[in-house]
Amino acid sequence: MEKPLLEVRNLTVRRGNRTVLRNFNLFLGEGEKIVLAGANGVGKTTFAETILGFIPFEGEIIFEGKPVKGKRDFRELRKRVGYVFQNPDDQLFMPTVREELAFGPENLGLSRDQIAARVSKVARKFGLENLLDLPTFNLSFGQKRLVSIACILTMEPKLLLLDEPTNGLDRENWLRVAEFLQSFRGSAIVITHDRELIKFLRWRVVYLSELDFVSSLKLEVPPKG
Amino acid sequence: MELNSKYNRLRVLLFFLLLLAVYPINSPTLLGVLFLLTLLGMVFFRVPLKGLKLALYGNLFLVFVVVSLLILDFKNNWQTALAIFLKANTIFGLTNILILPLGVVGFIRTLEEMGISKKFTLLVFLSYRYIHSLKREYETMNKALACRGFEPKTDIRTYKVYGYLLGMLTVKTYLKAKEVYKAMLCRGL
Repeated sequence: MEKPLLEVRNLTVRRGNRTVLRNFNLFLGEGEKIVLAGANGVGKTTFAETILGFIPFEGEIIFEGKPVKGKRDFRELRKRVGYVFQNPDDQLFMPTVREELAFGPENLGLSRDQIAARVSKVARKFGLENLLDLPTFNLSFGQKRLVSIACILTMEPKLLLLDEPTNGLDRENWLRVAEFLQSFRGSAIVITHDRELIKFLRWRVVYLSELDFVSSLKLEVPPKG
Repeated sequence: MELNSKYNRLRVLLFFLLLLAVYPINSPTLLGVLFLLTLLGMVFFRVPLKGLKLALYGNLFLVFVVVSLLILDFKNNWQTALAIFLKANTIFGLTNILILPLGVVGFIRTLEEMGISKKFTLLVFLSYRYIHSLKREYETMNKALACRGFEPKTDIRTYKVYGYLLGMLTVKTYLKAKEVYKAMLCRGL
């Protein structure tokens, strides 16, 4: 059996009078990558925000074998789980792309040299070298999306959690993001309803349904080529 | 429906009349009595917790004013400070009893029904929407900070980061306002 990275047991989340998730269970092994799919409003983003400790819940969240309960636990978890927001505009707030990429590593307490090395490595990977000194709010949507992923990667998270990463992207940027996800070595959860991306990635798919139960299955896709 | 609408208008009218009555009073004793009556009213009308929370937030700002007055000259200012505190809380209480149950949309509709200019009510509504979206933006950006391991401390970097956050909030709201204006133009404004 795989070594568990994230375990969610009997997770129930209520928002007002509505139960968004009921007895949700999930097991994610170290190095495993899954897609969390489902229609709009079934609780995909709620799940992500619950994992990060932004929404009260019932049940158990276990990360790297330790139960995550209090505020301090979640603060530590957020340093190890990289969350890419659904809308990049919600995520970017530093004046320039360079500062945006450096913000996470600074919070981890890395030295200047280490931060600079990580920034240039990730910028090269995403072709952002020419944008480093530009203000983030002036970028195109596709560029903002790439920066929002890149600024999480500079933190070298243990688990990557991406919410609709291909939403609103043109073909070129779509391919860039999809290829990056496919080549990503660590653990990842991609929240999406982009069928093309699901087919492209060929990862295990967990479907969230409106009936408050979850079925996990392997999506059958034809072999490439 | 008609009865409900009349009742709402009566509420709003009563609220403004009471405001006008409370505003000129400066005697701490009289204000104390009014404050106690308002508290009783809040208990009687079972004001929801949300209203009390709002009053608490309001009091956070009030504390600055009251404490500054007391620090400057306690002997001469304590009566003024007490009057400000009681007056503001009486108004918070009246708002909770009379306006809060209407909700923002209900309040604006009632203002319209009372013959208040459409331009003014629209302005009130847009201000509410603007403040609401600002609050949402701020909450989301705070989440973004937390997601990247940011822990506020009493150091220059924290102030700098909050400065950037406020700056970005301003830029975002400006851009959003521009978009809304374009949308209005597209719909024949």
